[in-house]
Amino acid sequence: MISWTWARSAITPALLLLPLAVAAQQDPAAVLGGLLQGLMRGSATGAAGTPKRPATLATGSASNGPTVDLGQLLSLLNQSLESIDEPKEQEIGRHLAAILLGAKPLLNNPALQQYVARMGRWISLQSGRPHLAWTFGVLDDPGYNAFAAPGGFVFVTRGLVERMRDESELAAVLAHEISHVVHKHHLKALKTNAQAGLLAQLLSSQIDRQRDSHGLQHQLLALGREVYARGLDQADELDADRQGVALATASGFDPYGLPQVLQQLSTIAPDHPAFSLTLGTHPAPALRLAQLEQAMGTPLESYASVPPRPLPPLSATPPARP
Amino acid sequence: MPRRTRFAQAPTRLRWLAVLALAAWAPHAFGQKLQVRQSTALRELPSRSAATVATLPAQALIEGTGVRSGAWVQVRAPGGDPGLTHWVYLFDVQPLPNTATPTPAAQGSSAAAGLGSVFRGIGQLLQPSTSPRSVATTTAGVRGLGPEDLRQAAPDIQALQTLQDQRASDDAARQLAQERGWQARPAPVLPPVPRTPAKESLPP
Repeated sequence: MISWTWARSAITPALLLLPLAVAAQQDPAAVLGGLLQGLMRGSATGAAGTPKRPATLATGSASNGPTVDLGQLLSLLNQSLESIDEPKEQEIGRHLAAILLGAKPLLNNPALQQYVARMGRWISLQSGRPHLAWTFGVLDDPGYNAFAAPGGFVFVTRGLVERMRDESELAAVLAHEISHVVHKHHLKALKTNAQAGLLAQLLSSQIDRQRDSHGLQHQLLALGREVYARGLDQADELDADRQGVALATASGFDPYGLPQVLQQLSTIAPDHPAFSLTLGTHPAPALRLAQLEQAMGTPLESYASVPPRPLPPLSATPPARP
Repeated sequence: MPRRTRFAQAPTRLRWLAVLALAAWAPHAFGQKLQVRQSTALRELPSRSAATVATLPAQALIEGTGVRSGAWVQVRAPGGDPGLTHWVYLFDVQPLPNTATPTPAAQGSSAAAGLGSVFRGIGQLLQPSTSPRSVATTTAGVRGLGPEDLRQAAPDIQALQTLQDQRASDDAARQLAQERGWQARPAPVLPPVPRTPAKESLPP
């Protein structure tokens, strides 16, 4: 929202945890190892070469044991964000998006999927990274959330779309998520959390791994939980709010969609089961509103001449392709 | 037989359904309660240059119609003609949870609240929204994606492939933008804001 997404967008903490969380049922080191090995190789694992379920995305498997190259991992984590090129970023995003899709399926409403995909693509065309392979989807989940992953993946839930009052609100949520991707907030969070604890843990794990691979698994899971608990940097969330408003406005939408969404979020109890993940991983709506009020000021009122339009009627029947 | 009597004699289940349906419909029919955050002008039109009808004190309660025009939300005239509306600055009001008029659905069990959600969903899901949808404000109801779901998730490569196959082309996005009237324009610059409380001032 948005988070929101209102960016869950908040995916972020959740998604960063995901490769590790999957290890509850699989081999976490294999999952993370495959991801990191993919990063080291670049985007060697293209979409066409992706294994089918229930195979993991990792190149290693549980039976093969941990395959992560800790030396390469440590090297990667010490690099700057700029050194993670676009193919590597998209490879990270593919892995994270696949796990999210494993948590909740795509909504079976082709018309809505197409509408969100096109609106998202339109907004992303106005962003600072228009040439990314932007991919948008609606998850069949009654909760209120939005997610982003590196490389241009953006998801909104059915519950969020149901609660959107008009197009400017949905555009605001998508623009918030797109801003996370444009400014690489997820990669930044991964790097920050890794530097905060992963290096030391993995250095010791490298020794432990020689005699007990489970030690590495447990430490990686613990790191994942920590990453999840922290979520994205709160300043990055506020930054995505501000950048998202500018992006939605540049895309032709009423700039006050996000403030309206945040006002509604401010009426929700933090433990509401449909909103708890979003509210728990974002700054308080009141703070976000206060920040936006200052950032938007009066100049943006001149952009509000475009009246917000209701979402179009979207049945489950797929429209004819243009 | 008088209608009241027939309602009273209806099966309990039907009476509850009627009450729940009314509860689900009521927020849309009567708008949303708004509380004034700081003293603000009630204006005749959605513009800073519009005439000031009255000044609303902080904490005053007003009723929104669900209509917004940019940074301005439409409200019913306090204590006046119900059909008369004015405008207030969006950031100067705070929506209140729709619990001002407790109903069995609002007060009752999670099942009742959940049923309310079902009512809201029927006929509204992805249909044109001519009136605002209320947002549930209780802790009851459906559960959304949570950390436990994420911990148990296995990567779904097929779904990822499907999603990637359905990417919208640039042309398709531009066509929808044209159909919906979205026109690209220069992006406004929103400067970073230090994390301090918002200024408590009345908009000029």
